[in-house]
Amino acid sequence: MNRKAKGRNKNVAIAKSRQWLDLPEEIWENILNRLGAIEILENAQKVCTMWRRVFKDPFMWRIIDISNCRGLSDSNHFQKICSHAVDRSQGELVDIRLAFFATKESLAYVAERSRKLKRLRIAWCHSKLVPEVFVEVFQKLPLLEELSLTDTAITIKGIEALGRFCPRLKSFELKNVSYDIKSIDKPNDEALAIAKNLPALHHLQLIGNSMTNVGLRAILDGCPILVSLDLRGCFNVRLDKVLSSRISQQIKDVKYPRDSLASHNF
Amino acid sequence: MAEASSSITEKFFLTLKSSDGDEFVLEESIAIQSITIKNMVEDGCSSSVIPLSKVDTETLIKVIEYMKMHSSTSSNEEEIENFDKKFVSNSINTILNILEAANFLDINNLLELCAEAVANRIKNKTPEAVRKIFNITSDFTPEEEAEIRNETPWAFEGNLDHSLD
Repeated sequence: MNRKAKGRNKNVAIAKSRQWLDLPEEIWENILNRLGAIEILENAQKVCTMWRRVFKDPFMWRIIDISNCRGLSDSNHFQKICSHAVDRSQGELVDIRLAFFATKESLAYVAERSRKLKRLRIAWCHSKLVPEVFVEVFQKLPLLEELSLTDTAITIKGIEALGRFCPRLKSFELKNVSYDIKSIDKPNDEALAIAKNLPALHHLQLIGNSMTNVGLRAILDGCPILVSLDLRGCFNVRLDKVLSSRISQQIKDVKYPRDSLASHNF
Repeated sequence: MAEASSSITEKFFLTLKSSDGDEFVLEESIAIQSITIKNMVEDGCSSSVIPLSKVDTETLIKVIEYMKMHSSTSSNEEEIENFDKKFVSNSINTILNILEAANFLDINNLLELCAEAVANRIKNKTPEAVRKIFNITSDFTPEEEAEIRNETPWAFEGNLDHSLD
């Protein structure tokens, strides 16, 4: 009893005076690698020289996440963070996630300097990002495997460029959560372009897409190796028995138009 | 046939000794979540006590608690998730001790869990608050501080959390 109490007091004393910077640097790298670009540049890099050294390593910038934007009004600020983070990656960037602020210029800046990029995710940039930029961007990203666009428009030419310049593309997500699909003129254009230009897709998520059964059938014909297909919110699709059984035979993991979006994380 | 059934029913036990000298007896199947221990067992060091000179008693108790929960066939996913959530609410010093032990013992899940927990305590904090939490002294020269300001002159520190938890 006595001995134990002593031991505990000793531990408390050690804990208080413990220099946590003495932990192996690989542990700190593991921890610090989990911080987003904004946190790193605004705060964490100013803590001490060891942390700053860790953040100077281009490998810490292989994954850049600038989606946690406080104060959405100052998009200029986040564009600077984005450019600086891309500079620090020195071409090692493989995965980038941008939300709210991305413009044509910032996306072109990323593409120009990131030939190793495999994963590109953009969300809520509808008002800022001119969709035409993607044609130019995809030409610079020959290793792209995954593209995710949430409330961010792409043109038919953009989808064609994706098929032409990104032969490794396996996963495409095009998520519309804010716009009324009933008001769209040519509801199947996107689906037809995907079917025609992206035959090697494994994963396709078309949330809230305006396509009808015509577009869906084209995708089933045009993308024969799909493993998963997410059709949530595609309310213009009317599944009959023939189409339903074809989908379930051809694709392993299916989400249907009326399945709940509650568990979905944008 | 007899051999096969005995290997299913027979349990092997290991004795782990903390840096404070306390001994803990643990089923081998649980303990070998630690790759370091697994390698020792495979090298034939398991018959005697395994000394863990870098892990104190308080930390070892937590690590064993974690390994028991994560190897139990009776605990379901939700139970494990709740356990993990509660586990990372330990004090930052406890978490860092466990993190160091997980690194030494090579228990990847535990390492990931604690690293994420520590990262979450850094997020949205001012550099001053972070230094206090981790007992870090700023070691920048005035020149280096100026260099940071020049590199990222736009990096402001608005709306940040100054609290220390």
